[in-house]
Amino acid sequence: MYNLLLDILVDIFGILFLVYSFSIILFYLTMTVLSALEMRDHLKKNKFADYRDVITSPVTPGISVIAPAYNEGQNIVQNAKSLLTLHYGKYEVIIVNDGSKDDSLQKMIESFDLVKTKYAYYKHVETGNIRGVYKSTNSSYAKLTLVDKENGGKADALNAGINIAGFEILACIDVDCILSSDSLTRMVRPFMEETNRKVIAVGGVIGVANNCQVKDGTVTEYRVPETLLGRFQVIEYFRAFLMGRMAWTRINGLMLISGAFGFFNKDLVLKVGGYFPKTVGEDMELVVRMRRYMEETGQKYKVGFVPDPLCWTEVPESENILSKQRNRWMRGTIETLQLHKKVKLNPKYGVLGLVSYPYWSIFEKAGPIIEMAGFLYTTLMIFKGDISALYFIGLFVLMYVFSVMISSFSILYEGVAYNNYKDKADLNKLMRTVLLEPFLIHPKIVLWGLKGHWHFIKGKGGWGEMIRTGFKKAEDKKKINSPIQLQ
Amino acid sequence: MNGSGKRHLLKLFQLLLILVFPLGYLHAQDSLRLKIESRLFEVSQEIPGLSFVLQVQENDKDLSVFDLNRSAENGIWVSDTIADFKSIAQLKDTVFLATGHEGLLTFLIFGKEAEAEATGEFLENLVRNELLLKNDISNANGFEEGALLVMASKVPFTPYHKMKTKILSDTKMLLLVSTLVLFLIASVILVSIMYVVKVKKGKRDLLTQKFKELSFEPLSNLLFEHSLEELKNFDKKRFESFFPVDHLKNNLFKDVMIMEIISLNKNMKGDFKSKLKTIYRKLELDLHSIKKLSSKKWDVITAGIVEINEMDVVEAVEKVKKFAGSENFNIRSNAVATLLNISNDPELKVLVNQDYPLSKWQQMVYFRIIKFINNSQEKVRVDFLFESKNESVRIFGYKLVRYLGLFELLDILLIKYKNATIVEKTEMIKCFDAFSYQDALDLLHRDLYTSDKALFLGIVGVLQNIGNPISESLLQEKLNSGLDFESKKAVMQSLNALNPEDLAKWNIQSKDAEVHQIYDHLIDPVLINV
Repeated sequence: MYNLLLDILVDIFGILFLVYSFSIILFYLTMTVLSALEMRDHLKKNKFADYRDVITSPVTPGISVIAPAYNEGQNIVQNAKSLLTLHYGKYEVIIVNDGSKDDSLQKMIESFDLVKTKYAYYKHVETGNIRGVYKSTNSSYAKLTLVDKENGGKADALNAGINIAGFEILACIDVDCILSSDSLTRMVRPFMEETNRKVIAVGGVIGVANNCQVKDGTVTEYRVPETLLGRFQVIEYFRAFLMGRMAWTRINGLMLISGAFGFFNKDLVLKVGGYFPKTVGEDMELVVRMRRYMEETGQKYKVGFVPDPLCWTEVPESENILSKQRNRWMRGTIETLQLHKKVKLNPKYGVLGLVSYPYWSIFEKAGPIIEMAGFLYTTLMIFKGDISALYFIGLFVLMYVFSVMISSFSILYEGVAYNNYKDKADLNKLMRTVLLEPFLIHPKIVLWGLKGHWHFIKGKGGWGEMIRTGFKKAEDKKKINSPIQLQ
Repeated sequence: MNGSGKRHLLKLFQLLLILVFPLGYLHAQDSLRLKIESRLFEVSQEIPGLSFVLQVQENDKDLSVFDLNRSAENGIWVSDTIADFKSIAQLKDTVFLATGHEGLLTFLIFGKEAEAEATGEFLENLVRNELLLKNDISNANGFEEGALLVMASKVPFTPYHKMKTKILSDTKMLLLVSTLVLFLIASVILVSIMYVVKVKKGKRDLLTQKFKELSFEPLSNLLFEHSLEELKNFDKKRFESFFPVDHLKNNLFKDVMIMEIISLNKNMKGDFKSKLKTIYRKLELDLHSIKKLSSKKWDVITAGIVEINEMDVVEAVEKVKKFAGSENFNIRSNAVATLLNISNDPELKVLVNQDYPLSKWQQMVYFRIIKFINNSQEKVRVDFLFESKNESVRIFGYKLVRYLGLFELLDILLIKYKNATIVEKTEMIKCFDAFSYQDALDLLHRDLYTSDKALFLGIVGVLQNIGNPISESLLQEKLNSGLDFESKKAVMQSLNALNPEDLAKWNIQSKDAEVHQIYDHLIDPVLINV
């Protein structure tokens, strides 16, 4: 009897893993096709766009660039200067010093002739205590505002910047990101083009800057990183940004805009209450909340994406830092999905509820758990002798080749779209990484994802504890589980 | 493997035992019959299609007790047809013990009587059809080495027979492998397509570069070594003599030439522009551009429209007109831009009649063109836009008043203001502000009581610039009526511009912390322009 039950369970699990694997492969194949179509259209459209007009035209919307900084003393002045030289007419730069313990504030004050002002602003969004708002006495830096506040985390710092922002579009970036001089002109285009739908947010590609040559705030020569981990992230960024997000954009299902480089409609951000500071996935959470608001109020909307290489960042090349990043990303994903459970499979939320949310739940959130369970299942079957070597090797080889194919596709895809990595030696290195990734890096990514789950359950890590206790607060629950209120 | 599979395998194994062994003894009928019988005896189950009948020659005894029937024809006792060999064998033994007669077994294949040899072949067929595994043969009792050799000579060799059988019999694995293979093929196809696209694009880029280099020198020669008059007098053949003849018929070469000419045209002035247009036409590249309008691909059509626009191909205006209402944003935008630029339409009819709402992107492009026409050619009739049925066009018209400094249209705006929508009013008051248009004050005072925040903030902003004492008292009244922070800040900013002393006094009297905060902001010299 028990043996029969065990056999049935083994069979059921086997089928579930099978269906899961097929679904993920099917998703990837669909994504490659959708992203290719979207990229084709984007490149064609780009041929007819003259971005020079955007810089000076009175029609273009104003942009408030908000860059939170924590202990960035080493580069903050250089980065702020770089932001002040972007090619765009109507914009301001708001640097938010989030209680840095280093000399960030002093360096900024000295470099830009800043003085503390009596800046009057309304706290649309609650934030930590603001110690001062600084403006420059030098008219050359009239675009610059420095907000000095007590430490409260990235989301809190962004909210402080949002309260000060004076223009209709918010560009939320990481202060250490390298922005191309024409990044604003290109990112503002989706906001300007749409007529039938409101563009609520636009995401951009983040390139890997490690080992690249940077001149005047722009990457002039692309080189792949020296380390395997660095190169893996180059490929991963191709897959995530060029393929994944382009595909989601095609069906207007984009749920995540990178916190390092995202543009938002300010009115809507204020309406939904700004960033939620109790999650480490504040970027994703904001997009989901904005989308929910639009769906619940029955407004047509779009989340855009610009795949042009406009922003670069240095990715972690040490396992320790990368593991923490992945752990945080996983917790951010879990938290966002938990906060917006209401959306799940709810036809009222359209693509968001029926496609995007389930995808993130099943493949991104549950991915590491299912992969680990699959691994344990297979191991168990091998020991029990219920799985033949033929069966195992066949499956393994097919999955491996498929994974290599998808990664190769992403490299070719980048080559067709932008061809930034021109050096053959670099391409060879990337191909070697593609071959090694499933054995050397993917298992670690799975483990770090699992660790993220574990830390979420235990309430460990940055903001983890706060969100878990935060859930219990009636206000938070009301805010998230009921239809989003107008502020 | 599940229970059913095991049962099947057992069946097959038993069948193997039954079927394979007799194959070694096909030399003589008797020995064959004997062997078949002896092996069949070991099988407890039925073999599909094979049945047996027992015949006994007995004249003296009544064998009906054994369920045998006597044939009226020849007096032989005959049993019923029995599929189970054990039963028939048992019957045979029982009859033998009772009568001393050894009965004769008759083989029936699918109901028809068959010889021992035919029965052997029938069984052999089962083996050939891979119902039995060769390896199982060795498990059979009494199997001799010679039997394997004989069987090998009879059964064709099938490589990986066991693997094939295993895969084919495991439906789950079969499904899995076939689906994965399908996915794999799909991914290989995708990668291959991408690779082909990349290679093609690489080749095209190389060719484009080559064509650029080939066209650079001739274009430079034509531009710098010949006057405009000379160029106008050259015939097509003369022009062609400057360029590589083989390539002039190549569409890509033509495209590259057009790209180069347009690029030079954007960066050059005066005579050079005319020279470039002459070269473009003399080489009949204008026909190439017009031909693109017949394409089914939106990007090709758009490219054609852009080229027509850049090179002022006026004769193509009628063809471009049909794209001004296109569903495709890019086609429509560029068609409208082209018509504004080259169709001599100072009344901006193409815009007035637009059904689709204008995006900011389109407004930006159209503004550049209208500004150029207004400054260099004849004055455009922006006021015609105010009559459009399309609200976005009307709003664009109000913007143009401001952008182009058309203060003479303010009186029309004032008339239109009364019946305008909130969005239109918000745009109109920006014009009043830009030109400090005092005549609008009464209307603005009236609308200061609007419930629309954007309009209210707009009006307060204008009053800061053109307000009078009445405006001041109205603003003070509003300030006392309990405004939100943003409105309060705007009103105080206006009051500060109109009468700073009064605001200072009011600030001292006020107990509202927000008022003090805003006032401090307003008088902070560093924030004077913020």
